[in-house]
Formats: sequence, structure tokens, C-alpha cells
Amino acid sequence: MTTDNEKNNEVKNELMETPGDILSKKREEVGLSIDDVAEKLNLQPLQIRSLEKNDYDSFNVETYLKGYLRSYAKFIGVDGDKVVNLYKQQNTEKIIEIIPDVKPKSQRSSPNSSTKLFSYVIGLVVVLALIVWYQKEQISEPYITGKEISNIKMKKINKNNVDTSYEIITHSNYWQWPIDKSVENYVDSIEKNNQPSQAELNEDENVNSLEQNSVAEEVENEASYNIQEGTDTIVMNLTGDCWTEIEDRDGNKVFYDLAREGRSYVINGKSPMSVFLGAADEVSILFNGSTVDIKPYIKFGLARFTLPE
Amino acid sequence: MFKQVRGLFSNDLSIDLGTANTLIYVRNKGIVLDEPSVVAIRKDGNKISPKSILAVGEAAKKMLGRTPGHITAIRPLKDGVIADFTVTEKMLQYFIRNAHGSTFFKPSPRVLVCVPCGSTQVERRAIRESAAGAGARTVHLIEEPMAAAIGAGMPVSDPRGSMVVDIGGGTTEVAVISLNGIVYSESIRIGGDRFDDAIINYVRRNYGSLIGDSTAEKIKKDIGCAYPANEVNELVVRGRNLAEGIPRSFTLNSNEILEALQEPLSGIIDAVKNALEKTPPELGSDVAEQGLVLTGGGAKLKDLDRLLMEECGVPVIIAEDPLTCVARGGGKYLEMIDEFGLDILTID
Repeated sequence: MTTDNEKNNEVKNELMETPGDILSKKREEVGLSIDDVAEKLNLQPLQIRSLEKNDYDSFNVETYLKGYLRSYAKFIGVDGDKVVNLYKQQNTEKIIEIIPDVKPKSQRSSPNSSTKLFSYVIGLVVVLALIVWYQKEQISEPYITGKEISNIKMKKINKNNVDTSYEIITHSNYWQWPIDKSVENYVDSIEKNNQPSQAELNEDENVNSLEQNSVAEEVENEASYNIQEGTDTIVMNLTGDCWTEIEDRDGNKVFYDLAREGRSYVINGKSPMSVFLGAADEVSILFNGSTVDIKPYIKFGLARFTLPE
Repeated sequence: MFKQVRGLFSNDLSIDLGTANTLIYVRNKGIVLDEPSVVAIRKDGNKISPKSILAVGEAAKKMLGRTPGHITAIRPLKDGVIADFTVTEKMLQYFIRNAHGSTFFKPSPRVLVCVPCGSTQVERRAIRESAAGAGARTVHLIEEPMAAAIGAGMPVSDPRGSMVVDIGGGTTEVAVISLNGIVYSESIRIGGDRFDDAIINYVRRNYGSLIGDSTAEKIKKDIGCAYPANEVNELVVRGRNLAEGIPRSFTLNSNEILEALQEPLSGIIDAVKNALEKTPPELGSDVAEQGLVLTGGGAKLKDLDRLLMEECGVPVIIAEDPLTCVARGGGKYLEMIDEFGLDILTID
């Protein structure tokens, strides 16, 4: 390394003057000895000699070396910056730190373009996600109206008070029993139930032969409100899975589930009941025993209508 | 939470919040802002916001001493510490935004602020809070002489004494550093401002005339010197004659300014001598061998290095680009934090 430096310096000596040359020449012009300079600068004569010989190996910190060069130059009346710049040009491999410039505002480079791009991409993604989410919301709640919102509120109130048919009727055990016997029979019994009594309801339970134990208690509770005027029955027969929502007069969701293929469902509630079918082609409906033609309501496979018509 | 997100789009900043100038160094970009710490405030008639910021930085500095009744141009920092909290916060906000240029998000950078080593806990807290109020995500503090030494390229991590003298606008910091720590430090409230005051007083005493701060600063920059030179420079100055009450022009020369600056200069010399005296002998010998490094705007005073060399008997060198040393050192320190963790130099 040392020899390399010396070689480099020798080569450069021939091409242009070195900091050491400038300094020693000027010093002799002014008529000062090395000792004079060393005394004034509080440095060792040896250090001055090294500076004049461009031998910088004894200076292990560059900051100090540049400082010495500058003070020396200034002392004998040479432009210090010129000497230091010359040194920097000739010893580029030694310079590690980069002194940044103070740039005026107009010249300042704009912020990192990749960072900018990144931020725009993120922004775009967020906007797209919002759009997709909004559209999804639209699809899942296609015809949300003010009335429905109020119904939802009402439902909550009812739930808190735990009094209405909603709590029990929506219990899956109640509506999901399969009707093994012919529906006609069942409908007959329902017709009798137009003015229902507790006894008859219990009979219903028997007829439909499901796990009585689990239902029994509920039925007792149910009796207190289910035997109310205007209780109507919907019977659904399914040839395929269909998402079904049925709300009664008070907005209680009496049925809110995926109705399974091949089963029949009996739903009791106060009319008028609003019905929403997700796959209306798969469903045939009996309302209080009479068949309902739902074809006119079907739109893109969905159907929304109120019973009685 | 949003600060964290915004932080992703912000650069790390190192701020040299000085009495005279504020410099901001951005990592990988260099010094992006160098403006005077001056704020011009306009008093508005309406009751909702009785005051509004009219100008900050260079524009505000031009208004110093030239404002009508409803505008006040003030320097919110005095002696290196905050004198006016809210105005400092506003100023920092403006500078941070400016340093960032136009970005998509409001910047929320990690900020390192340099504080004088003599500042009290209360003063440090004030600086920390005003930086946080200006939108900083996290605020680190570093002592000014440490930042100056790093910025000047001194071997702070070596087991070797390095002495740095940072002459700022409000304070002069003298410190001896070894192994990433400050062994001895002293902060005296003498700086560029005191030089200006000394010149104003001198002119009033000897010429019976009053000059403003800006004029005094111009005199200091043009013909100020700290050591008798061979050639004498002259400058024509206009000031208001106190006896007659009308402006008069007169000529000042560099020897007069040297005389005027004697008092603050002797204060700095005393501080340096004091530091040399109190430095442990081993480090003292390192300093005597290598010399001390001058940084800060005061280092630009002509022949100050010569004066110190003469008076203290140690080599004195002026750092490269002395004005930006502190800000650059802060920037390097931020890089060191990333590399080695927080515990190397913190003073928190």
C-alpha cells in the first residue's frame, strides 16, 4: 500500500504539482524554516516534513491531516482549500466520507421516486379493495329498505326482552323436522289449527314425531304467544338447497337458514309474512294449505314476495 | 398508529436546531435545509386566531428589525435553548415539511435533535416535545459536541482524546471525547450573537452611533478577525448618530473589530484552557499532539484558529465545512443507531 502510494505520487509528480510541493515552495519563498512553521502551528517538525513530502502514512486520521494542510497553507499565505482539494484529488482512495452540498430549494431533488410509486400503488390497492367490498355489500343486501332496517331494530328489542315467537320459532329443532307423512294430512291438521290451542299444538308435535323432549319445553313457552289470532302456516317443499328468509308481521325472522334439499319445512307465523328465497326455482310453497304460485316473483332465481298475496 | 404508517414514507432527519441557523440533514440525501431560525408573526384582527405565521427562515430574517407594528420577527431560540415554545414548534413543523418536499402523506420522520451539553433537563424536554409536536415519530437527542465531532470526522470511538470546540450562534461547546463518550464538556453562552453584540456596543461607545443586528453581523463576516493581521480591511458602515439623531456613515477597520471582539474571544479562550486543564493527562497529551478541531459558524471568524493556537499551545484545525458539521454528525449518528442499537451514545 505504502509503496503503491509512493509510486502513484511519483507518477503524479510529473503530471501536476502536489500539496507538498506547493507548501514547500511557498515556505521557501516566504523565507521560513520548517522549525519556524512547526513552532507556530504547534506541530512536530517531523510532521511538517511529512506534509511537504506528501508522506501521509504517519497521520492516521484524515480529518486532522486535512486540517494540518489547511492551517499550514493559511499560515504561509496559500489558499487552504486549494491545497486540500489537491490532496483530495490525488488521494481519492483514502476519502471515505462524502461531504454533502447545501442545495438551494429549487435544485433539491424530489423525494425518492420508488417511495412515491410505492405509496401510489398502496393507495390504489386500498381504493380497489373499498370498491370490491362495497359491491359485495350491495349484492348480499340487494333491496335493503328503511322498513327492513326498522325491523332489524325491532328484532333486537324483542331479543332482549325474550318474549316473542322469534326466539323459539327460529330454533332449528322446531322447523327442521322432515315431514314423513304426506303433506296433505299435515296441511289438514294445520287448517284445524287456524284457531290454535295448546292441545292441538302438542298434537302437531306428536304428529311430526321429532325429538319431543328437546322441543317440549319450548312448546310450552310457545303456547303463550303462538296461539294468537292470525297465525298462519307456510309449508315449503324443496327439490334443491335454497337460502330462505321469512319474516312475520312484526319483522321477526321466523325462518332464517339454508333450507335443505328433499326436505319439507313448516313455518308458523303471523301474516302478512315476507318471504325471500335464494333459489326460488327449487321451492314449492303452500300457504295455509293452498298452493302459491311463486313463478311471477322469480327474478334471476331470487324471489321476494309477501304472503298472503 | 398513523404516525407509524406515515413513518414508512418519511426519511430520518437530523436537525441542528441552532440559535442562528437550523440545518436539516436527511439520510442518503445530505443537507437539505439551511435557514435562519427566525419566525415572522403577524397579529391579525380576528379573535379566533390572533396570530399567524407570516414567514419562516430566510424570508423572516430579512424582516428582522424592519417590521411594522403588526408584524414581529423573532428568534425563538436563545443561547441554544428554546425561549418561545409554540413558535419553535411551528418553525420546526415548517422546516420538517420543507425538508421533506411534497409527499403523499404528512411526514412523520424519526428525528434526531442536537442539544447543547450544558442544557438542563427542562430545556431538553422542551426541545423533545416541540419536535414531537412538529410531527416527529420518535425523537432522539444528542449532545452537540458529540455530533460535531462525528460530523468533523474525528475518531470518536477510538481510545484517544479528541477535543472539539463548537462555536455556534448562542453557545460555545468545548468537549473532550474518547470511546464514544464525553469525558469533559463545558458549554458557555458565548457565540456569534455575542460577537454581534460586542460590535454593536463598540460602535456605540466609540462612534456614538447605533447599528442593528444585521449590520453588526455583516461587519463581523466582512472584516471581523480574531488575530492581528498584516493587512487591514475597511468597511463603510451607516448608523444613527445618537447625539444628532440622524444617520451618519463612518469607516471601521478590522483592528477595531478585533478590539471589539476581545471580550467574547477571551471567554472562549478561557473555556478551552479550562478544558485542557481539566482533561485527564493521558487524553490531554493526545489533544496536545493532534490538536483541537473547530466547528460551527464561529470557526469561520478569520484567524480564530491562529489565536487559539497562540494562546493554548496546541494545534488547531478547522473542520471541513464547519457550519454543517453538527447536522451531518447527527445523520451519521442515526446510521450508527441502526447499526449498533440505541445504547452507544444516548443521553436520554
